Order: sequence, then C-alpha cells, then structure tokens
Amino acid sequence: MTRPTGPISAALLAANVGFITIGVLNFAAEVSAPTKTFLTFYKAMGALSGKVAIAYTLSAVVFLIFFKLWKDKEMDVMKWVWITIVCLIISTLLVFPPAIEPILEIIKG
Amino acid sequence: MVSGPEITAIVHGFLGTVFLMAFAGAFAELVEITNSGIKRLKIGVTLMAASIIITALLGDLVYTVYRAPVPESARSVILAGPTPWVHTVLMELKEHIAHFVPLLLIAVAFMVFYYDKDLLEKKELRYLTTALLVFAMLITLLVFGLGAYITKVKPI
Repeated sequence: MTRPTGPISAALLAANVGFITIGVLNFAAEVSAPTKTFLTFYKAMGALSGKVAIAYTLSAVVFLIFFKLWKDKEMDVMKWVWITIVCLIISTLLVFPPAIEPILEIIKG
Repeated sequence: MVSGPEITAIVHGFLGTVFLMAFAGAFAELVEITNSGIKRLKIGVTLMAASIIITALLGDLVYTVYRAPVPESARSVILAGPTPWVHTVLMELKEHIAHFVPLLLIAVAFMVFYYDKDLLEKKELRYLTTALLVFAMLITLLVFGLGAYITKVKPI
C-alpha cells in the first residue's frame, strides 16, 4: 500500500513558508530601515542573515507541526507542487529589485 | 599565494559542480527507475542536498568578504564603477534565491526517502519529484550564472 501523501504536503508547505518568508522580509527590509537593522543578526552578512535565519527556523517549525497534523492524511500532492512553483515565482519577484522598486516608490512616495 | 577567501570560493564552486553531477545521476535514476536504482537515487538526492547546504553556507562566508565595508571590497568597487547594477540587481537576486534551493532540495530528498519503493509503482509521484528536482536545478543554474558573471566583473 502507498504511504499517505500528508507528510509530503507538509514538507512542501514548509519549503513554501521558507521562500515566502525570505521574499516578504526582503520587501519589509527595503520599506523600513528599522526592519533592516532588526534583521541584521550578523553584521558582516547584513540583513540577509536575519532573513535566512528566520525563514529557515519558521520552515522547520511549520514542517514539524504539519507533519504531525497531516501524517495520516491523503492530500493532493499535485496541487502542492503547483503551489510551490507559484510561491517560488512570487518569492523571486520579491527579491528582484526591478520588480519591487515601482511598489517601493509608491509606498515611500 | 591563494588566500583563505579564495580557497572558500573555490570549494564553493567545486561543491556546485558536485551538485550538478549528482543531479545528472538522480535525474537519470528517476526517469528510468528500477528496484536497485532507488538506492542510487537516494545517494544522488542526499549528495545534492548536502552539497547545496554546504555551498550555501560557504557562499554566505564568501559574501561577508564580498560586502566588507572597505573601499577595496568587491561590492564597493562594483558600486563605484560603471556597472553598479551588477550589485544592486544581480547580486541582490543571487544572494536571496540561492537560499531557496536548500529548502526545495530538503523537501525533494524527504519525498524520495519517504516514498522509497512506492516511486516504482506511482508514476505520478515520480514525475512530481522529477519536476521539483528540475526546478531546484534551474534555480541553481541561475545562481551559478549570476555568480560567474559577478566574479568576472570583480573577483573576490
């Protein structure tokens, strides 16, 4: 018998949380200087250190929680793969300066 | 004499090559999977995940040298030169998307180990695993390309 698909969905959800967190934190750091300072966990690496540390930690926590919740559940893995692709595209746009600069200009006036 | 950061950068690039080679093996096993191929597939994705995690960590180490707040650092030189967009656009993109790959690869490795021999029977799961592996590979290729170009503009 095939194993349930819940744990795979949990793994993909966790990866997506990681991508989106890096993207959103990058955008937040560009909008606000205090956020950028807050995210500087390690001075030599700058705000990237905080973005990656928070994203990876959050990703691990989400995986542990949802692995437990979904371990016996049957889920649509195909749907999760599509969500992963969409999240990767959104996150890439959030860290691509030419894509976020017009929005930043509007926010900053 | 080769400096510490240069050695780190060389190992960083070398592990990237290991990643690419492991991808070739894992991809081939996934496409034409056999009972004995499952073991090789597991070795391939483990090698890919391990090499990309170490590559990302070493990349962060190289990045601290690249962005050092001194006039002779690569970032300072690029920003003061005729092509500041190499840092403001290309490096900004590279440093962030490089951290997507370990997350994706860990999920793929988990998928391979979790489904194990189910991958032999479930064609759909195999295709999905292959698609994610290819996505990880495409992002890595983009990161490598950006890294090679940035290094060409101003080596560490």
